[in-house]
Amino acid sequence: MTPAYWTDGKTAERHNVSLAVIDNDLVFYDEDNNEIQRWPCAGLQLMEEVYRNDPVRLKHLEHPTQVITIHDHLFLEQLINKQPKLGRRHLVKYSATQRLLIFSAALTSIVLGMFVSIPYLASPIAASLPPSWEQSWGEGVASIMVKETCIAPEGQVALETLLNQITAGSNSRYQFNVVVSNDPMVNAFALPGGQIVIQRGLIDKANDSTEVAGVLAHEVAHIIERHPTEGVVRAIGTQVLIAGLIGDASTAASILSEASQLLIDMAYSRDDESEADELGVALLNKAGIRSDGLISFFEKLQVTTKQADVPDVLKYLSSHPAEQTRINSLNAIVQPDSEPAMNSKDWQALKNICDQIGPITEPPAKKDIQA
Amino acid sequence: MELPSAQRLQHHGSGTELFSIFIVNIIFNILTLGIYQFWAKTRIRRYLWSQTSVDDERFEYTGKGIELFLGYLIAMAVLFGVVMVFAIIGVVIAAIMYSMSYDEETIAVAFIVAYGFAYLLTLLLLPYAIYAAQRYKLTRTRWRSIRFGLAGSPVKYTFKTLGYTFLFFVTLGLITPIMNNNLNSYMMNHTQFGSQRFSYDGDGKDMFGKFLIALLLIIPTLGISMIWYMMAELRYQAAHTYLQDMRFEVDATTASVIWLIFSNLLLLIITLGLATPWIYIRNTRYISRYLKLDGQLDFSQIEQSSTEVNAAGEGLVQAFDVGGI
Repeated sequence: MTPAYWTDGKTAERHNVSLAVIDNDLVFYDEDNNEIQRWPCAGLQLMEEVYRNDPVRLKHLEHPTQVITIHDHLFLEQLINKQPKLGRRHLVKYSATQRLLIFSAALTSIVLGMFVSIPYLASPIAASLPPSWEQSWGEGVASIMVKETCIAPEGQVALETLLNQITAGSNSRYQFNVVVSNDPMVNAFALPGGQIVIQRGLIDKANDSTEVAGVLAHEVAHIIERHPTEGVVRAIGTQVLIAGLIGDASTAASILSEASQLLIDMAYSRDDESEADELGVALLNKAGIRSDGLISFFEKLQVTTKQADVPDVLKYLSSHPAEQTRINSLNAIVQPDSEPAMNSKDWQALKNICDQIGPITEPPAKKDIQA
Repeated sequence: MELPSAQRLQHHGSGTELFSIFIVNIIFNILTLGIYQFWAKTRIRRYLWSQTSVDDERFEYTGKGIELFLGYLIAMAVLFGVVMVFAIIGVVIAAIMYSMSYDEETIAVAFIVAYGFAYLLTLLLLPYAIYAAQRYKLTRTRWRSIRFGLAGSPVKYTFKTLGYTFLFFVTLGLITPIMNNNLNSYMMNHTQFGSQRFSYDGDGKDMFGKFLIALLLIIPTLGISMIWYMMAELRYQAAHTYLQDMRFEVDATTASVIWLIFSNLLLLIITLGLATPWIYIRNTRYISRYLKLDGQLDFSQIEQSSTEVNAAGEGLVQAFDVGGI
């Protein structure tokens, strides 16, 4: 028999009772040892988690408003034998400090594990996304990034012909599309799903069509290798993890909506760049186009960057870091003796593509050019 | 049985124990992308409630995470609905104005006004949310197996609050003591322990003198006079609150509350927020230390009441993000 307090859920009065376990029942006795009621042990529940030295409070499924309070943890053990579920809230095995250490270790390993595995998971996740998602994603980003498009028809035709020549041998699952943005920055972006944006500054800066072809092939290669999509998956994964750490669902949601900015700010890793270099050159070689354009473009940019405090107009180098090692390995595979990318007439047309400016988000005109 | 006179609340919780609850919450938050937060909050409340006692009897928290989650969803739907309705009204107005060939700028302004009005309207829901959340918390709190409760109407409370807010601006804030007193009066007089109502017989005019003094000293004391006033108001409100013949008393001083706030902030900054569980414990301890219950309760007269309330109000508070624990 164990002494207990009992409140019957009808009034706030507290009764002194004694409890005993008989067969599978918890039996209540009043102060004169008369039986008051029986609760089947199967329906017993603990009011809350019970820690060391805490009083034990029990209720019953069929009597949810009644509460009994005991101080004898051994008696609770007896009840747990009859109703094992009670053990889930009986947290006396470890002290508070021990629990703290165990959970801290668990949290640390989970967080570290996730941070470490995100880069490895990014690639399979990106590969499993349907191309149509990537495409609408890329189009969304393009519509934010591009304020004005350059749409002089001859220039567009020249550029699209070049793109088609480059991508012809790729067997890629993507439909490629390129627009020139009327922006003085020297940069080019590969967006998920096949969208490529070249900023006007890059065409202004290029000496010849071969350099543009080099950059274009490089960006095509990024898309084929799914680098933009992987980068976004990686960045989102990390940020969602942090949001989870802070415990805020709305942050996680807003991160997903900021994916566009991620793409714009993203810099590729060295491995990604080398991969894109190799594949880009291979595509040009296959198409029979001079493939040393990227090298000469890099070298020129590096010279200009060293010469003076060039403003951040030259963003291409910061998002595509070019080291000597990259130029060296490019030199090993390029074929400088092939045909130039365009004839001089087409090249002039491309240089003047911004003579005609299109509205903000007009989708680039679809022309059936068979390369 | 009667409550012996002059009791204080007691708090038995430990920061270490609560901290391990926090860690588990963080783990589940990561795994569920934050959706677990409602269950996390419930878990923390259950701990804090069950570690607080009066007369050797601990409180119970009977709320459930799913209630908070559903409440949040309902509240978000309501907020979304309000904003959508006004967005549609804005579009309709814009279309009508366009057909009446107003210039584009005027139309844009009209649209923004309609949209801004929607946001204002969601703000008006705040007093409703506060009242409903208080009701949720009280109905999920039990002591000696008897539920607390909050009768009255959140709608009435909202209109009262809006009325006083209007008067606040008209009187340049001078209405504050009366506003605070009467809003507290409405809430307190509708608060129940089982079948037993609390009663509050304070009068806002009693605090007017102190309020004026605090107002005059607000600049020379860098605002501390207002903390002093708020503490005086709290002591006054407690002293005018009754449950049967039991009277409440708060004997916290201005210095002690400033120290509590200051030391809590310091702790949070030094530990980059890791001390949050200890802050909860400190706050609960502080309340326990300074809240005194004085007088007799006839427990046999206090019966269970039958009101049950959903958690939509609590969800609104979550949506507004003003809900702590």
